[in-house]
Amino acid sequence: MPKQTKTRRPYRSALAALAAALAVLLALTLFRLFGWPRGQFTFTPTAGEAAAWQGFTLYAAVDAAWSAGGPQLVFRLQDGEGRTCRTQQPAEGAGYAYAGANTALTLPEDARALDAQALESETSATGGALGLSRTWYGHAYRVESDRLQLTETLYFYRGTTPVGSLRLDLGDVEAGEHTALYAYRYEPGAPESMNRDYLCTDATWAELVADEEADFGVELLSGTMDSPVFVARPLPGSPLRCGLYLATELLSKAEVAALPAEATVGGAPMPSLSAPYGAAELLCPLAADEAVCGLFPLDGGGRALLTQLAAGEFRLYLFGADWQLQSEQTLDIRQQAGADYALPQRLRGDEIALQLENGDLWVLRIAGGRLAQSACLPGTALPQDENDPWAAAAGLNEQGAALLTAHTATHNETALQRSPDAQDLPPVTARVMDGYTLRVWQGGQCTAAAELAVNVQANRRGALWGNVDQLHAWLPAPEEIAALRLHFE
Amino acid sequence: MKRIAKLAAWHWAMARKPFLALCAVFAAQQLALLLAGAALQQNIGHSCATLYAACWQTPAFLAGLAAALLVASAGLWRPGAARTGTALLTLPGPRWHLVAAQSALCALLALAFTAWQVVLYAAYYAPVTAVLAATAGSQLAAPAATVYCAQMTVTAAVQPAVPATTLYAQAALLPLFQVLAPAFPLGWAALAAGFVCVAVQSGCLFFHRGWGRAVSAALWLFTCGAALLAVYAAWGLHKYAIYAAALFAALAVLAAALAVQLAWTLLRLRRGSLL
Repeated sequence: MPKQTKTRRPYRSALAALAAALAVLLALTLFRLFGWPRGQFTFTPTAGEAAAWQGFTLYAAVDAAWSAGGPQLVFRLQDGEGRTCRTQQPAEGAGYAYAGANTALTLPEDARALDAQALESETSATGGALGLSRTWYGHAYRVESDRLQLTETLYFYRGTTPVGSLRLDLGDVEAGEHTALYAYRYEPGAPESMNRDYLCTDATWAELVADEEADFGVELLSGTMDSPVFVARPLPGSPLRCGLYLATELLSKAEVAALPAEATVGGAPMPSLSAPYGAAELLCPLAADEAVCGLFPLDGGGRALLTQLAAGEFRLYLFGADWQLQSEQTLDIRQQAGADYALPQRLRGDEIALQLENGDLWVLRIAGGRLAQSACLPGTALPQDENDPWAAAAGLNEQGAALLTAHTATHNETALQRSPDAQDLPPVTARVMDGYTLRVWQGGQCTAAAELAVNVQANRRGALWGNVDQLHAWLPAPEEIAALRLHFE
Repeated sequence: MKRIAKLAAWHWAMARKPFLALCAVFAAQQLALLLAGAALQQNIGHSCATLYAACWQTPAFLAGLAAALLVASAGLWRPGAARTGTALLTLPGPRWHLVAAQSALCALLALAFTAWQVVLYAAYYAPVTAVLAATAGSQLAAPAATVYCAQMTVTAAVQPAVPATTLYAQAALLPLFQVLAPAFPLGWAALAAGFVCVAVQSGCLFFHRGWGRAVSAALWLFTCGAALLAVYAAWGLHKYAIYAAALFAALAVLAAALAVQLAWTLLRLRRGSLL
């Protein structure tokens, strides 16, 4: 009988190693996709009938630290039935994410003749670094004018990409007799940005118009940044009217650079700092002392502008998707001008919530470009927190018959801090969010209440780095609380 | 294909022992450092995921991965390699099969080492978390709290609770796992591109000798750096919409380095001037 020889089969162990490795990596991926902790939300009715929750559909979304950049947890409460699921975070829209304004006091167009009497002096500027620095020589020009032009340049960005800018002439300001403006002109070859038209840097417009009764300037509205809208409050004598504007023509940096040099500095042409460029369309005029409370995007692309008049009444302007003014009306809501009001988070895309200083909570529903319904809950103690825009919310149900309020339920946690060298530091107390307290109101009476507990602190705290204020790091930072958002479908 | 698999399997047989030793050393150092780190007072407040970074385990993993790629060629660089090389060159069949087999083995060991890290993390989670909690509990026990409360006449309890956490949260929070199991297609693409390029580069490395190996090693290091950059840039592009240019640059470098290394190695193999 031939002797059996043991055959080496390295295939087998190699394939086993490959299979095991792939299985582990697949398990990690599946674990990350499906292993998310359930039970992050607990909906517990504490009072009232289940029927009271009919007609309310509510979402609570949590950006837990472990879901950063990935899907988020969403709790859906419909007719009193709750369910947790995971959804992809909505992609950020291509809106105007950011806008900035630059206020300047410049030489008015009709005072350009002053350039002929400008006081000229030598100047120099050094730029560059690492042994490549270079000095440019040029001239500084100084004129004195008792009248300055208030100029506002607005910059709009889509995401982080600059979209364009617009310059407005907000009118002339009377200044002191010896208010100086300086302009610079450098030798050829110097960067263009070093040359500058006349600009007043000795005074700010706020100082100059401090004695005026109303505010002047431009107010950028952050409520709907999908359109470049702003409120302009010009000085008397400006070609603009006070009102809400939509920028219709924004110039890019290259287009601004290509504008004709309208100013003269030292007798030579120079791009003007006071000549307006771009174009803006007046959407609706506002009274000079009308304060803007908020601009809200509405379902269907419309917008609502809520303002307060000097007499204390609130006023509502409704715009269509193309910013066409559909209606404007003075609301039957008033409080003393200057009194505090808050805008609780609105729960529906067709509603606005407003809470007055006396605690009255108003919910306005808009349909078809008109105010369709309004509900008032008198004297509601809906707590407001200016550091936490999501602290309180309110909205009507589908039929508009019942009102739901939500506010954050919190408790304070105190913890010791100890520095790395074992020194005891003062204890820190932080507000820790437990979830939301929900209440349904009908006819001024609370008909149902519930607690929506959110158990994300453990995860979020685990996410924080803690080296210096170690124990502090276990407490949720204030911004974490803002991560919980409630909204209706 | 079968011949490539056979060659890879024989080289696996030669690389198996050093690879297992590497895995054992890596597991031991990780356990020792994580447990020691968890017991240190200065690490109170860390979770398992942040402690992993604080104990230098991310560079340790990368170093271990690089070692695994080098260990894959154990059959070519251990004593007697010259004889092995000669035997390899006398085998029938095209010589690019040698490179392909070696690259496949590098890919296998890289995958296995990564999987080993995943297993280790899951295994170490419980003991490390327990030690972290115990350290926090002992360091924050009554004395400091009492003394401080007496001074400040604070009546409220100041004993903080150690926050609860889950393996899921700690796995999802670990940047290494975010990169190794990305939740977005771009991450998978960058990971696959980097992985293939590094595996092939590593497969080519030990066919060279003398100065050729130095040049090859330089290309290999360059590729490893570019692969890291590509994976990181894909993550940054997904999370913060930045590093798009870095991603394309890294992928271009990866492709160029791969082309140079492959062409050069295959040319020299054909001439028989290697090994």
